Amino acid sequence: MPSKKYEVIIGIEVHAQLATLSKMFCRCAVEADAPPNTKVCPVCLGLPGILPQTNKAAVELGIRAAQALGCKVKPESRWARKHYFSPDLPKGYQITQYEYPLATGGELELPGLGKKVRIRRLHLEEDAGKLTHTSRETLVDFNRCGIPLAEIVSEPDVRSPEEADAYLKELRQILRTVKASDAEMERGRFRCEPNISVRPLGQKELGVRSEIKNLNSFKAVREGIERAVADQIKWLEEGKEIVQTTYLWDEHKRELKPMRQKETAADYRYFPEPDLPPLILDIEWVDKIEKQLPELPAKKRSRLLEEGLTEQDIRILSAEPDWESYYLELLEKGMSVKEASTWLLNETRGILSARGEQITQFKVPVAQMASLITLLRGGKLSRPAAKELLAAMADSGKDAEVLIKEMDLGTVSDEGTLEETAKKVIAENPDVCEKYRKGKTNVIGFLLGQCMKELRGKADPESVRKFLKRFLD
Amino acid sequence: MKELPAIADLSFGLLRGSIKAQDVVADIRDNIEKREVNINAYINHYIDQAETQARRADESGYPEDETADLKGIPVAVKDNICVKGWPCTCASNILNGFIPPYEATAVKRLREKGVILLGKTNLDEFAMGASNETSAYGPVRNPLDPGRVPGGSSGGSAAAVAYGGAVAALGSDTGGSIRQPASFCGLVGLRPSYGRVSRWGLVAFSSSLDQIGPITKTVEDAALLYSIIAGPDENDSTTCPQPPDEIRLTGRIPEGIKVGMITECFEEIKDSRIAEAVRSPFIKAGIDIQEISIPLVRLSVAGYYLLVVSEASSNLARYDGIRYGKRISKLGLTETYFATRSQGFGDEVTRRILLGTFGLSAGYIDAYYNTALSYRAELAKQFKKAFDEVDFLLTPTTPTVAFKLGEKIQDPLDMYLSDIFTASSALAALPSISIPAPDKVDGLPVGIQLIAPRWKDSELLEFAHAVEKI
Ligand SMILES: [Zn+2]
Repeated sequence: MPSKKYEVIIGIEVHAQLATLSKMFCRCAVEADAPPNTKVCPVCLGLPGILPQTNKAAVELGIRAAQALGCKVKPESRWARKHYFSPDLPKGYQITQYEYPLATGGELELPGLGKKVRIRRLHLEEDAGKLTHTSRETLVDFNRCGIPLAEIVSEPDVRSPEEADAYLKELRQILRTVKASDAEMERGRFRCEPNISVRPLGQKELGVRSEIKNLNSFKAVREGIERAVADQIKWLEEGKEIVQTTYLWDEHKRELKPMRQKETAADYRYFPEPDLPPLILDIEWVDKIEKQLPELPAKKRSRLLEEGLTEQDIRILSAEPDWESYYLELLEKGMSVKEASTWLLNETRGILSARGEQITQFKVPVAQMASLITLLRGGKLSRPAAKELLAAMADSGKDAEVLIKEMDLGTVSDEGTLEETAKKVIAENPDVCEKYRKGKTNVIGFLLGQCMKELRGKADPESVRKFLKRFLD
Repeated sequence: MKELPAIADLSFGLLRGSIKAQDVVADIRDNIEKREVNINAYINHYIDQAETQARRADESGYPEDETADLKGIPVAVKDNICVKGWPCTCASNILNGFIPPYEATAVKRLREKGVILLGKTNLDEFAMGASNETSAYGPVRNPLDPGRVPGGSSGGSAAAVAYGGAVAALGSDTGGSIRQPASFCGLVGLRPSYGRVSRWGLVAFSSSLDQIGPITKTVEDAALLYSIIAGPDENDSTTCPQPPDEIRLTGRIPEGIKVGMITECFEEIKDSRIAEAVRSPFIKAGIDIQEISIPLVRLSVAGYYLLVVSEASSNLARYDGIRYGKRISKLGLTETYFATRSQGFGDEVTRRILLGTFGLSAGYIDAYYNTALSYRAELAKQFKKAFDEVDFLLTPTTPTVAFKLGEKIQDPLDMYLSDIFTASSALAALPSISIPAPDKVDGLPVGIQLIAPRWKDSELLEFAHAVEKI
């Protein structure tokens, strides 16, 4: 953070599109990208005399998301109307949950940061339509209107843009793991609105909030928050009065555009939705959903940690499902956690990032990677040779065995050659050998290195060490 | 005027072949041609289509099975209930040109039983009124005395049935909009328990109170229509999932029945002849009537209006001229909203939207809307307690007989008091029926209102049928 004099307090609201086939209160298909106004009906268009019907599938996904976040799912929640005028809101109100949300009181662990962010609530609501502004007119598309959303509200526990980033990535990962939402940020299916306030360290009361909308990437979130924090600190230093303001992030100019201030804040006139009875859940059903939850990211991480992965490896894997699946397949093929970690997360990652490629473009199938590791493990390949081999495999996509022959990478296992090399190195380094004999046995590493050099790495170091020891002792 | 038969008689006649649907529809055409210009009961009628349907019905005959329960029966529908392909105006300019591509569940169920739809009847704009004077399509006059109002908001439905423009009609009742016009026009009007009849396709005024119900010549007709339109509907999540009880109309007053006259209502009546007219058939039949106090009924108009204006302000937010109906285009969006809504809505609707918006706004919702909600819950408890002592409750339907056109339109509060006896049972979600008293006052009909516990619609109809026979 830019300052040690101030404390940054961030709360985050996320709207995640639930992965249902049909909309929240009607039977229209969820296909926001279909030709405009083709996935609509009298219900989602809010025509006169039409009533909503709750989509049970959306409720189920909401429950799943809530449970995955450790929230308590309420046996009874209620629908409310939130009023404002906008051409993309056909009823003049949005059906949402207000005083009685679906779930409350969860928490989310920020991976690697040793910190938890509390979740205040998760509630269900319907999305609005989409406006397109042209130079002459504004067009409205109602395909998105009525698509189910889960709004997830954190407590103001986030303290920095980095934590905000970690929170959002973990939240996305959780929603994906339980298949509640595909949470694709770029497609507007995972929209986050942070509210930020800054206060001098030690001050009890919270500062004035800035809210940011229209953040369409993780980068935008970080930059937007950094910007809001910098602005607030500047104003505090200048002694300026800060007014509660909602900003829009301008992706191109990378700046915050004020949208509205507190005095003009909308009065949404919430009141109970009379067209829908309270949402009363069958406890057995809710329990059943909970029992069917897959292993959650935090739990998986602690399992992998126990299995020997480093936190950094875990972070990479949890953020990138394609890496993770490759990794898990390696484990299935009998590779150890350490082997998989070294050869996938260090070596392969290095090769691919040098080439600017994704794991999905990696030409080495899991089985081939496994045979490379097996050869290495059996001493049939030296480590440097294995690295060389992997690079060649990534280049050509050829099998390990083929390339070992082509490149003459196999290990020298001929005892005579090994013996000769060991003798030669000992003869060339009398002072080192002297140290060894005086008890400094770790200098053997140096001698071993020299031998391997002589052998161009094509030997099993353990066999060489055996010869060295025999002649030295 | 050509007198029309009741549904029950017409059905029987059609079945026996002693009467033809075509002849009835021809009589209706005659009546419409003679009276409509003066009465203005219909916003749109489709008498030509009805004639064609009647002819087809007669040609295909009247089988003695359930599919033809109401075959050949000509019925009118209040113009806030959607009929697929027919304009639905709600008597408001803001819905100019709106044609719903769907049909109300109640209408659909009637059609499935062979009903012939005649047209869409006039009403107070968005059902907001008690005199049918707030309609953008002009006021409706009472066929019994055209200088007087037919009541509202289902004034067109009541007037059409009263002058022979329809055999029966559907209306909607939020705080008395079926019962009060039925009373003013000498007809039977049933407000079912809230949740008995699907609201799908009924344009919402106050969603937690709106119910569709029949306006008919007899209790038997009301029961016939009710038994078809009532019942669960997956399109309306507020309908009761259990089907309604069967109705057995015997005409007999059950032994030992107890009827409670709500003290607070009878106290309000200035004209003792109305109270007398309401009581007399019960006294004549020797029914045990006793006074019973439900103190919170006194506040029902205040509580009722706080709730309905709040819900109305929300329900009517959708009329912005963007997607359907009338749009007054201006340069900016806000300007277009202002122009469309101020020109599209009439004064009464505007008044209620403004009141309701205020009543729901931050800082006021507790004093107004939320207070009304707790009032409603308490009132329901008092009703429940009353039903521990009596089987049905009795009040006059209205404090006066039909009043004159223009008499109350300038004084909204006075107009709101027309709902004084009907609003409380609506708030408590109870089934209530208005039937004409045998005695008139100044030659005008008086309505007897009977109220039953929730979901006891069938018992209510059975008892009202017996009282009607006295
Ligand atoms: Zn739809």
